[in-house]
Amino acid sequence: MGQNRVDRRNSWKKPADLIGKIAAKFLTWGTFLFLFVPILFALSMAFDTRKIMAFFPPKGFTLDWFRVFLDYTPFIEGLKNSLLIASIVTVVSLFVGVLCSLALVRSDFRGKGFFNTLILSPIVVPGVITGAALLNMLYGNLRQFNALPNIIIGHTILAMPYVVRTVSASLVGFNRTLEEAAQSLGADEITTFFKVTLPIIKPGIVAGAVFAFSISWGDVNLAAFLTDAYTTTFPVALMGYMRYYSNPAVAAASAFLMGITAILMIVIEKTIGFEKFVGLW
Amino acid sequence: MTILLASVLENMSDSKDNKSSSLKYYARKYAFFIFLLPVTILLVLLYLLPLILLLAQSFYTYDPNFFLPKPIFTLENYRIVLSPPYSKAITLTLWISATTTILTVILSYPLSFYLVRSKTGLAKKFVMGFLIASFFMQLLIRIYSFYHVFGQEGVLNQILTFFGLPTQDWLGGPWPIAVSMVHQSIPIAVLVIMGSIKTINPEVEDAAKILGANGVETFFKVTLPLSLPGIIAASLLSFTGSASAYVTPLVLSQGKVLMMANYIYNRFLDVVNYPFAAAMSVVLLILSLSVSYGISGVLNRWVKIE
Repeated sequence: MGQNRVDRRNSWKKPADLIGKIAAKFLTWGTFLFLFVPILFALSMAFDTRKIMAFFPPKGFTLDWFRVFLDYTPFIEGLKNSLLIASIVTVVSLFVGVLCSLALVRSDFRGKGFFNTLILSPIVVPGVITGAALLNMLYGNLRQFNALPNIIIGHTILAMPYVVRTVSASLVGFNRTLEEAAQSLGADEITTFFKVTLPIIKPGIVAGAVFAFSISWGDVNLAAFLTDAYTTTFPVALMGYMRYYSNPAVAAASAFLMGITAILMIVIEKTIGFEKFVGLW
Repeated sequence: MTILLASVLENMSDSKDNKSSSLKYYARKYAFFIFLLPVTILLVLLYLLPLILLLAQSFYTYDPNFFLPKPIFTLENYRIVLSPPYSKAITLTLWISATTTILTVILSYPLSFYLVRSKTGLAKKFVMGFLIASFFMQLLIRIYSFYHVFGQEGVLNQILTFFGLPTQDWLGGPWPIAVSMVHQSIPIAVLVIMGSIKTINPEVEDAAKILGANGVETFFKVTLPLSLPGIIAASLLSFTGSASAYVTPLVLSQGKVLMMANYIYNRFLDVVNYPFAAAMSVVLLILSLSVSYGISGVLNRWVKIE
């Protein structure tokens, strides 16, 4: 087997391949710079000393905008609400999604394909429409004006397909004899699930949780419909601020949260690793 | 030896199943129905039902004097949606979403390929961390990044001035929106495409090379078709993502370029014309579902011919 392998380094020596390789390298790093550099423009404006929203590059250095951000009540209220909503959405969509994935991967029934498509369909339905439909029903038909549960419902619908997708992916390659071994050694089904199944599909669950949390945390399309004057999420509060004030506080808010995100990234890398996180799509 | 042990264990648990009481047998056989109950309730009551009610709303008659629309059947809402100026928003939304989808796939693929095939190192870890971090980044700041690029005194015009070229008012047109949408779609597209490149066995590519193909041919005839599921999923995600863009046009065109989502949002919340907004939503839904269906169909056929 070893002799049949092609030496990759030699195969690139043909001229067409060399051009192809250079083009690929160029595109790869070009794309990364396209993703990375504009964000630096926007974040660096958090330290701008000018009183109104100006253009890059920033002039001077100040931390005042961070104080403006922390003193503005809707931001802090929005952060609290977003954290609460995202946590509940993560827990609910994980519970529903894990049960659903177990049933979908491990059993066969008529209409399973259709059911599968239905569950994943919120991914291809634009978020604006899910939001509009929920607004239409909850406000128009049911007169349900309580924003918090409404947003939680909407985000759960958006997040669940991602959880089902990642958890199913980790269940597909699952060796079921492990569970049977546990059961033949005397464990009941619930013990088997928590001691054998759950630890093995943990990467899928963590990836699903990250997706669910980030979808709820960053959502604007749906929350814009369902928030009201009393209850707002952080992204919607940012948008509201931008409507009335034009200053770098928005950049400061984002820079502040980037710091928290960096910590979160280290946690992800240490718990499941980026590599595993990606394989689950 | 291990295989033998495993098969014995399997037989043991099988025979245990058959011997157990019929109640337990049925409980196990239909457990998946109970498992599927929460998701079914959630989807039917809070997803399908709202969509059906939205469809019904789109046929109601709008009365500007009352908050509630009259439940009288009319096609007037659709007539308005499909005529100017709203039809312009439809073509614009389609144009921006299609451009975004194509650019996203072209830019995401090389990056995904690099991230799957290159050796683990600090650079790779940094790129991966940045991609996942962008899921948690505030949408508004990602859009503002391009305000700084395309704005009147933005980076692009600063560069043009530096070279003595005339500056341009970029923010009035659709391109800044499309570019920002590409920026928003790439992270998820890369994750999805990486997933499908990961499943390709490199020995298949080696086989093509042994049979005489060069690297470029191998890539286009073997690697690319095999990673098609990821490409399809990435296109669907970026198309629907940009079809529901609403903040991006607001910030990057200062209200000059309006997409369908802007009208939907405006008519639901500011004008309170539910029937019109519902009709607009239904048109957007039909468009995005048929494009999704089309993308997967076309790309799948393409790979079959190859």
